[in-house]
Amino acid sequence: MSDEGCVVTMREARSAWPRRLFMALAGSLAGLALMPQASAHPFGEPQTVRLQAAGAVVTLTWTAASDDIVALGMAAGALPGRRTLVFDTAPNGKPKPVGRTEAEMIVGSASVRKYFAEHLVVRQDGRACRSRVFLAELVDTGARVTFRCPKPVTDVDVEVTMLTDVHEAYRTVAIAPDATPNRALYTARQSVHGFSFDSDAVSADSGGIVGTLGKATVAIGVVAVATLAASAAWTAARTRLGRR
Amino acid sequence: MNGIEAELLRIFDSAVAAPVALVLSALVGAGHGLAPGHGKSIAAGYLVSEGARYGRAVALALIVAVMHTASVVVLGVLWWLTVDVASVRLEAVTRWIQAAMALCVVVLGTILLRRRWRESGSGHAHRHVTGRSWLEVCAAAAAGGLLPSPSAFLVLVSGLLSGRTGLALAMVAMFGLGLAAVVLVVGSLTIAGRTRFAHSSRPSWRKVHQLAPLLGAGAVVVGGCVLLWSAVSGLVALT
Repeated sequence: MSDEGCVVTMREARSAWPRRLFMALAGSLAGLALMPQASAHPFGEPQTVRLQAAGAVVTLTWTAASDDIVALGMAAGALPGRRTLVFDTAPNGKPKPVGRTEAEMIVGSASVRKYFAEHLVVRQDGRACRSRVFLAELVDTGARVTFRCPKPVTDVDVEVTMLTDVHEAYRTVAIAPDATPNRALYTARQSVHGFSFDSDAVSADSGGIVGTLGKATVAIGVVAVATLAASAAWTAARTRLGRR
Repeated sequence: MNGIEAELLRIFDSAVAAPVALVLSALVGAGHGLAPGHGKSIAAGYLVSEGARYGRAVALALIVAVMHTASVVVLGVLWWLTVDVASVRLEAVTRWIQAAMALCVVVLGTILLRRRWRESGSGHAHRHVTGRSWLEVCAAAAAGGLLPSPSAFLVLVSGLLSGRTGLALAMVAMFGLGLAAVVLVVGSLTIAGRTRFAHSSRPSWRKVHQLAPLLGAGAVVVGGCVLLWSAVSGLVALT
């Protein structure tokens, strides 16, 4: 296309600006219409259980993302299936929730306490250790469940089935810095892991995994650079051919 | 956790052969990409605004795939290294990634809008790929690839903890390719539609084609602003 065919006079350009403004606004509205729902989805930690042992007591601290806590509240029956949130909308202030918040309902629920007692179990020599559930810090730092075992804790089996009754894809990561293994994964298929709190235990080697991930990151970087370079070279070659 | 998000984890947990798992991961990635968002409208707006050809759409889709896989791996490494100390909140990290991504899109949209506005005023159109243009392709791809899918992240974490890191990484990469395939289809349809308008015998359609770049740039700006609003709201809620 020659430049002559494209050039418009200044007067025409000025007279066209309302149309351009309209099209820019139309594009903006189209973008708004196409973007009503979250186009990205930030997410929190996976369900995590941290294990500690002192004497004959094992302590499990359960933490999860806020949507998983709500799922827990609904699974345990602390929250109704149809949730209604009521706010006091004063004319000169921020809306304030009326009545108990969902967090308060979950934390104060006996059924949630029972759910934890049923879905987190520690066994020593095949016998379940007696548990106590503390929910006060559930939303902030996590629910704490202590297990008093008959003998000082060395080897225990820990069963975790949190939320797998809601959906089998739920999983829980176990972190036990002072035990072997020091990390484990609970799924619907694998709900029991044995942990050894022997002080001489050697921690699992995580260097290999981090090394693998490091290599993967480098490989992805190389592929990305190669793709960009190849695409740029291809485009440049096409441009040169086009000029000839 | 439900719907297609959970399918990726179900596939990882199942005993299906690795090749089948990889094909299914790509299908789940495509299904995930079809859900609202994931940068499709921003990619379409960008391609329209730039008057791009199919090669640019392919490059954009490939960058989305690589970016998604890389972001899953980086978040996975970060989580793995910090989970013992629990000093890094994953939700805050992902919110900040979302904010950075949104900022990229807003800047890109503003640049495009300014350029197209001037061009439509002068009647000149000088569109060719430069080094800066490649940065722009990356910025457009960021909306679809910079923030990973939670299920892809969980598959990687599961792989790390179950000793199946290789399979998890391959599944995440295939998921990213499936996601990118949807972006490519949307981009290609956009380009085909624009070409159809260009060759139309109706003057009104050709007029729309002339003004489409401005429309596309406007869509990118608004898409970026919506993303930014969402990210900032999330960050405020965290504090």
